[in-house]
Amino acid sequence: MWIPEGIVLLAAIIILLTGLRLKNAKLLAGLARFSLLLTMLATILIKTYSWKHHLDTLISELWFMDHIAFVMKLTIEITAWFVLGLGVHYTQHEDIGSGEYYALTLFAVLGMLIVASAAHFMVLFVGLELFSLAIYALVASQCHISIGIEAAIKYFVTGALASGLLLYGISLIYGATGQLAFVPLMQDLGVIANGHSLLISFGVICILVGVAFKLGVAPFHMWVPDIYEGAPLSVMLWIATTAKIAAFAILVRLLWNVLAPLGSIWQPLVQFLALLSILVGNTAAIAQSNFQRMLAYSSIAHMGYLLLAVQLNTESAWSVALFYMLSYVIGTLTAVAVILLLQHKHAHIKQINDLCGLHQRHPWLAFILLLAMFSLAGVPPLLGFMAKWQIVQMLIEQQQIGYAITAMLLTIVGAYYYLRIIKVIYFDDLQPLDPAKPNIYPPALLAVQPTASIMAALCGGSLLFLGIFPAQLLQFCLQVF
Amino acid sequence: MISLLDCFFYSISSMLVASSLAVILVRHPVRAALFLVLSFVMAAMLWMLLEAEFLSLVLIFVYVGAIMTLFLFVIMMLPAEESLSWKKWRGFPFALLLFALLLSLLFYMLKHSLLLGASASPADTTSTYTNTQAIGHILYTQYALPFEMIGILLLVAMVAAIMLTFRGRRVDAKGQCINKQVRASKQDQLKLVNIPSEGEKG
Repeated sequence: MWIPEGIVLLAAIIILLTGLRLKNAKLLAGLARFSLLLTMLATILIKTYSWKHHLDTLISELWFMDHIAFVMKLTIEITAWFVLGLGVHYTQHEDIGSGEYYALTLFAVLGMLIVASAAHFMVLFVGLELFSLAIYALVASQCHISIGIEAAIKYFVTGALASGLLLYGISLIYGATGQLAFVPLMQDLGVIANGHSLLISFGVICILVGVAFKLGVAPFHMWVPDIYEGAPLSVMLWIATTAKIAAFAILVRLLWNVLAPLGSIWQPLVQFLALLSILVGNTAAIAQSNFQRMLAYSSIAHMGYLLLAVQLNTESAWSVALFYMLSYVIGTLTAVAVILLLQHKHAHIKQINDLCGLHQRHPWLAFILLLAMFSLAGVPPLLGFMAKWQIVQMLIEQQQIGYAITAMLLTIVGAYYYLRIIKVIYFDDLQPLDPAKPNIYPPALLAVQPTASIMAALCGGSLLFLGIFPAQLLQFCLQVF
Repeated sequence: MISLLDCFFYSISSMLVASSLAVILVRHPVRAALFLVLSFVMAAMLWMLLEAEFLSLVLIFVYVGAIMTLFLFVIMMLPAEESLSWKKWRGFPFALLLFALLLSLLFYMLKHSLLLGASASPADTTSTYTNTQAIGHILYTQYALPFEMIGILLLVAMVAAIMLTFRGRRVDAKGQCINKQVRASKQDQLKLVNIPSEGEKG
């Protein structure tokens, strides 16, 4: 049952040991990616095996083997595979691709896999700490750059605070019910849902705040832009995609598998978090000139839309939230993939204006970035549009028309900063980096990277393909919950 | 009727509150750390009252014995700065507001007797188990999985700490190479030069 986790753990330790002698980042990354492929295979095999033999979806009250766990694990593994593949050249170039770097990424994957099938508060919390701790260290992996250290310390302190709040909430709920395992706890909470005590609602609020910190939604978002800016790009991609899926998995486990009977407590709070995140994310992103900071605010806004689906607390709403999460992850992956391909040793792309005239130099990369931006903005016929449309449809079905209108109006505000990037790429002229060296332009390829380019194209293509034919994916998401 | 247990409880918890307050009010960092030690000891005694003798001793061993000792070393090595002046603390009104809010929330909860109503008291057990055995039993059977995971967590913490502090061997680092020293022979080190004495010159 623990074969996928075992493979990841084994691979992490092997990489840690071989990394002592082996300094070839490409080989280490290859090893890590190979182990992730094996993990995917193992996940699928175990799922089909347990499905065929009708095995119990719960193992000794600690471990879920249900559809949610399967889907979350598979998405975490696939995005981790993409993130590692896209970041190989960058890590080599920035000289951070040591054995420890890849070992820590695999340990983070392990923590995420644990979180995805946690059926007990203890397992959930240890898994959460495992992947958080690994990511704190990864953020600081360029330890000679002060902005990276600053980001890591901020992330560490806010993350520790969030974990503390989460733990406090868990202890309050444990104190009120005497249960730590999810399945009996949910039954107990269902019984006392109407006459719940203040102790329980206080615990629920603490848990919600802790998860909101991890997910990076307003008003607990202050760390997000600094960490996106300060972390190395490959680690930032990690935080923006895989860690977000893991945070969503925690959200599903806590709100859907435990606290669903107490929806009357947390639904209004989640509504507030959702609307505030959409507002803060979309308006603050307009003022950003740094590409990574802009993506950070964009992620805050997207998490807001996600929570807008979550607050409905029905099976189909959770499915739509999962669909939205996938569309956000693919869109962000595509956008950052292009930026990762464009890092040149003379010119890091930090500012949005560094992308001036990308279309003239690299028309294909410009097109992929255009797809990503249109998808994140929610322009048909791309995947982002379908996801937003599903959420709005769900809100209207549940008679929450006010929320739907607010969300859509703020989406229009948000479209500005996505479209500005497209304007910079397509309509601005190339600007030499340094007047003394007129032949070096900022958007230059780091190196010819066929695999990473193919991966970026694959992400961009899937945005278009899934946008036009979303039925399969949507059907898949609907079957999960 | 106040029993002896209540007497113990109230005296220990008032000392706990007082020493915790002292941690943040005392100016000298070393004294603050020592007060923190005192509050850990008091918390351990509270646990002892709850008949949780294993946890109480672990708290003393781990926190007082290991963590706070390390902490004291670090504080003593840092230059003591008197930076904790009240005038510089600009966020005080906001902190006071937050404090009042939380305190009123706490009193609201106390008034509804939610915390006091369900006060924990040790169950009268006549089992042959001791607390330590019970914890060990549950730790290695029911909670074996999270226990193993904590092991991995500690490994990650160690790897991360080493990665962040190890900067590689410095180029100009001085060190002995024992092999080279042992293999050294007279021919490598000693060079005989013929220098004519001054007397022969003339």
